[in-house]
Amino acid sequence: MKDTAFIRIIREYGILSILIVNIFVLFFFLPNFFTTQNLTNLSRTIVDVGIAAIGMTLVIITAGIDLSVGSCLFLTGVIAAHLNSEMGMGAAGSVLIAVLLGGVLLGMINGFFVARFEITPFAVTLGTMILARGIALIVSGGRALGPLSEGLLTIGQSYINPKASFWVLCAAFLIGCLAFWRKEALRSELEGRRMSPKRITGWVLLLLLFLIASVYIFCSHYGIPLPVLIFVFFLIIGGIVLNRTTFGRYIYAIGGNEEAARLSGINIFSVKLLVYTIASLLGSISGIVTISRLNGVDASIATYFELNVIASVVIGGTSLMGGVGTIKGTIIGVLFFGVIQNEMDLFGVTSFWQMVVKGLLILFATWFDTITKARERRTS
Amino acid sequence: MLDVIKDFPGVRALDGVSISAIKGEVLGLVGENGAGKSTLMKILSGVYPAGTFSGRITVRGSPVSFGDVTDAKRSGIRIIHQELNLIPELSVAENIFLNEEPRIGPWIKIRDLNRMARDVLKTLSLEIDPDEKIVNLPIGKRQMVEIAKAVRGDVGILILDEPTSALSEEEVERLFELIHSLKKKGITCIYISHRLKEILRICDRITILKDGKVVRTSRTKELTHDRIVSLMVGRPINEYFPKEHFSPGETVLEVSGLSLRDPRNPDRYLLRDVSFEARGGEILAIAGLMGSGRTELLMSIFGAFGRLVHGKMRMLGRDVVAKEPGDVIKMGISLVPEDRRKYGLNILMDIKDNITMPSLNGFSRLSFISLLRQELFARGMVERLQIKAPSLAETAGNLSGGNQQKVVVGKWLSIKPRVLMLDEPTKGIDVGAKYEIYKIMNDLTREGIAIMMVSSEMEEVLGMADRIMVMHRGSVAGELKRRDATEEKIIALSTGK
Repeated sequence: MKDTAFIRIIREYGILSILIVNIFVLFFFLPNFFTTQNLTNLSRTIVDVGIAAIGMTLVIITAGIDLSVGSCLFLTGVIAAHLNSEMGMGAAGSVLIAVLLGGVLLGMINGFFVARFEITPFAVTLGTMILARGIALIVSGGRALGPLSEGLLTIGQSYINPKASFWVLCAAFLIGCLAFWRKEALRSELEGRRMSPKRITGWVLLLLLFLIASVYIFCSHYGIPLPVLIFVFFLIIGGIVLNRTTFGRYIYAIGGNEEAARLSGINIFSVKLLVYTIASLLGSISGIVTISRLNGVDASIATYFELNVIASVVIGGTSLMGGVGTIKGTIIGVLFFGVIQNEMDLFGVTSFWQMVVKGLLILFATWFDTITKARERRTS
Repeated sequence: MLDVIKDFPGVRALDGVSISAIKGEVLGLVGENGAGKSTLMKILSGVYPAGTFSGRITVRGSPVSFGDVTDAKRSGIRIIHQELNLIPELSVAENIFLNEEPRIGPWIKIRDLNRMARDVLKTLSLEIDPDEKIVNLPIGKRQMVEIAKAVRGDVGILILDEPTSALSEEEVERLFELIHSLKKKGITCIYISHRLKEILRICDRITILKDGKVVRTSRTKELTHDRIVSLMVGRPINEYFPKEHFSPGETVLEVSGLSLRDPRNPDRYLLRDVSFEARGGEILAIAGLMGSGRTELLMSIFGAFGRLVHGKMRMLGRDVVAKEPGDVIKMGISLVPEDRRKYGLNILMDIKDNITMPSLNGFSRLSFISLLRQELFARGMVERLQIKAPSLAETAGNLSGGNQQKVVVGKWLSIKPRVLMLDEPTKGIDVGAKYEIYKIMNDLTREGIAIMMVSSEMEEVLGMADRIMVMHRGSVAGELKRRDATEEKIIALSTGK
């Protein structure tokens, strides 16, 4: 039992410790990693993968996979750009239609085939991945679309001004403290003890550290990029859904033992349908953010996107066999790849070598996933 | 086979068993669940290698020792298991000669293969096209193919383990014809079955096992159904049952005319016209041999087979439409399934979430879970059932079998059921945990819950039940009151007397 607890800690924090060590090393070798400009940039680049990774986490916990999320991003982007720049539709309308068609509808198709006909998610989403990209290419005619209207550009390019950012961060800090306070109050009540001041101080100090770091990054020059705020918003929602709602529990139940979940009266069909719809919805939102940042869309965007998303989720400790995974882990996975990508850019590593490094990291992560899982199975 | 002793941790499965089979005869092997038949056959077919047991095996006068299954095959011993081992997508011929196909280099000589297969099938007078794929054959014919595969080449002894459990009556007849033709060829068959009628028909001699010992080996002529039953039973009850009696209350669940066809073999019924009622405050045991449809009955009531089930169910006077488990759970019916790791638990989840899984909606508002109420409830259940675990956050997979079983019981008590169905509730758990489960059952009947318990352990059935329903081949063979029930009567009913 000790063994499994240890393994679980490694699972959850192993990649985090590598990430921290990595950042420490950068202190000495790459001081310009820490410029506010670079860090703000970094925060903006992880958003695309990050938003989609939240949905992917849910999918993978049910022991599924969604290969179509890259095409979903592309399709949404193309529809929005087409409506906005070629047909002159306003930002809100084109975003809404694009998200409904490229996100919600595609996700429902995925979910319906997976849940109703019990086809393996790999096959279903492989099909819709090709299908959606094909449709997107028909709509765009293979051309680059753009530029976009001012309104649409706001989503991906604007910043909360530094002063307002400061207050936003302070508010987040207070909410974080409050949330922990409540959690600790609940724990202490259940365990029949007093609240531990040590834990509270520890947590507050950690939050304070985050506050100082984020004030440093965001408040000195640019402010918080709007996409980052959107990302954080969905992260919080994702965390709450997974941890605090019945739907979240059902996701874990299905991934851990689908038959037992069915016999517990869980409606597998509706849970899976919803999970795949959410995944595509988030994929399409990240599509809107992406095209807005790039001020347009061309046929080359979002290639390998789904694989980057899956890699981030898996390296964050979510098991491809299902039943295990957290939003916290996914944040770490997204940051992990984001930082490595960023430092390789700064070091001037060519994109070809970047692929090699990423590939090796994914191999390492999945290997790690498999052996820790095998250990858990054996000891249990 | 002489004086075989086989120990498992904590149990002596075989205690000095000696059996012998004469060339060209059919030897029947009977005994209750757990009497040691399967263990014996696993030794004979090399699954348990020499050295893991004591005793001698002699084939055609010379002593043999099997290191593995291949050694046993070389000595001419073949076994046909209950589950068939054919590759569905390959043809009959390819299956019969699997891994021994006539080839040129890497290529299989299809024509030779089919000719050879046809010869094999002809010598057994089987009318099966060697080119047909296995998936396209009915179960009965698949079994014939399996036998043809087994008896091809130099075979002295063929072991058939419950060969008729998946067959329709017509198919059983054809199997018997095949066994007769094997006898004529001088092949010895060892026929293991719970179905005494079949044993009495097909076997020349019968060996009866009880608790890992041979009770008697006789010619079939000298035995009758009743005589075999009385030899199979009569074990002293050495476990203590804390049975308490309560006067049974009103009828809670009423089942009438429940039928279920085998999805894999539509000619066969897994359940045929089952009717009974369960009363509050009463333990109804469902006895019967393996494969008699007991688990299927509970699963059908629970809605696990969906629309495949026909029949009517009424719960407290209201009709139950059991399209899926969720419908049934809402009516207050729980099922603690037999295979807890497969159907009961999520071993990756903690105790708290496992216990509250079917009742989660009760702990949440607008689908937001109240962690406080959920945890308090789970803690209450852990205390009530005395689940031993370091904390509620412990992963279910890390618990012992007995505690896992209690978690599953807790899970199904969490919906506050009116009917609790238990499928082999004490299988694979230690004596202490068993006793605690029995006490929990008492508490529940005191509260007026109707309990239905499927069990293969005779003492458990006799020790805990108020009423015993015996099943045989998917039908109700009879019902016994507690005071009238004896092991003999139950065995007689469950073997189709």
